[in-house]
Amino acid sequence: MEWNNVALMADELRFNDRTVTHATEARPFDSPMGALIARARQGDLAAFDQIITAHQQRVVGIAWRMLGNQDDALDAAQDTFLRVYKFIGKFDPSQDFAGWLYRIAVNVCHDLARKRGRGNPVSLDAEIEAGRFVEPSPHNTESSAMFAQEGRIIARALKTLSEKERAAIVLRDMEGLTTEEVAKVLGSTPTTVRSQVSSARAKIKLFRDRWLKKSAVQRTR
Amino acid sequence: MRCEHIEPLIPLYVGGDLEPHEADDVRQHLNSCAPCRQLHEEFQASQQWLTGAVVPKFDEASFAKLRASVLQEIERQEKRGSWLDRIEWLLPKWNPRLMLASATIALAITTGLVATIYHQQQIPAKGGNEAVAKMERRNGADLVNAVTGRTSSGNTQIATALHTGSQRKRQAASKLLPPEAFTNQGFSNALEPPVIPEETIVAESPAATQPGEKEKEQEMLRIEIQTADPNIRIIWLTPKADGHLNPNEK
Repeated sequence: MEWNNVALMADELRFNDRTVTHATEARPFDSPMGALIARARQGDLAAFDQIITAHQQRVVGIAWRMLGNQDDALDAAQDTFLRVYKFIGKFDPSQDFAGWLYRIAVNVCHDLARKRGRGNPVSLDAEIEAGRFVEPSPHNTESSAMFAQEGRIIARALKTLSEKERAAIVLRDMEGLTTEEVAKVLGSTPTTVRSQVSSARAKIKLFRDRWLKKSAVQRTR
Repeated sequence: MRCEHIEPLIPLYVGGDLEPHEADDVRQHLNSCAPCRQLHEEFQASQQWLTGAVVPKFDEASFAKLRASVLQEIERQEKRGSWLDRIEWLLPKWNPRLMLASATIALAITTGLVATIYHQQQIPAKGGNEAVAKMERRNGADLVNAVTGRTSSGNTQIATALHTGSQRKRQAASKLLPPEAFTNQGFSNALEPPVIPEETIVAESPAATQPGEKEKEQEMLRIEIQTADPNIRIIWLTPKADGHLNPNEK
């Protein structure tokens, strides 16, 4: 029964699902997730295991987009869940659990990036120079290598953003949270988030424009 | 609205982040402005490129490993925590005043211990030097007499003249004195005799005298001084009748 609920919740938090549903956490401990949280607060590791199962994909996805590689993403996810368990007793049940968890995930990613010397944005020129990119083409987008290549390019594009811009655009455009939800996760205001998102989109567009231009020059040689 | 007002709104417009009335303004402007429409298309393409990014698929094995490592770490931390819980009653509760007082006491104790140890290390050296100085003062005159072949009482009992002071003090002195003190250089000035262990002075060794020189020996006083270095022995021959070197002789 509980596993079915977990599967349902995992579906609601499905990675590419643009509509984020947090209905399960609307009322404290009444929902299946709320019950799991209550049990986890009592030290029930089986319940916490189910919480991880429900959120792992999304947390790893955020971490991967924030940090740009798989190993760091898994490390960040592990740290995130450890922190969640440590502080789950202080979690206010009237709040959105997923938002609280994503906030922890974002903070862990910032900490990890700083610890590994990757916290500061890199220059756009350096990132473009560093890559040996191929131009995206609608004819070969089915290729998994092309997907991987595009993923790496986007990861490089995200590296040109500041920490806050990166967090804002990852949560807003890539994870599909609303501006208000992003503001809650980041402990900010919707106006600030809008400003960060606008700036980030402009930088991403600039990166893409220059990358396309460079790829075109390489192709003509 | 003019282009410079619309352009900053386009990045938000493509993501649906504008208020409805702002979005209407942008939409109307785009219908009538080709450059802004071009910019809007570019932002749309960039937005689709970004949001279309696919996170690499993490297989179930990776997630299982992640869960296992998280749960193992929690169990490990809880085990460590329970061990700390058992001895928690031994630990003082956090109290800034108590901590400050404890730190002050600890600092005072440490300082006292360091001072005591330092003082104790200084005493033997100081005491030893004092003993040597005392021995020098007590034996200085006799030593000079011994070197010159006369004691204050006029006898040639060199060894006995120098045998003053306790055995312990002499041992301490011999330990503390540097090897240089036992060389013949330190003995150059008879008026300022060097500190040497008295037992190293060997007076008139008949065995060492040659039979042919017996008459000469009777007129000369022979003093052999064995320094701390076994390779260095000072042999002093001086006429017995020479009283100029004896400061005690008036």
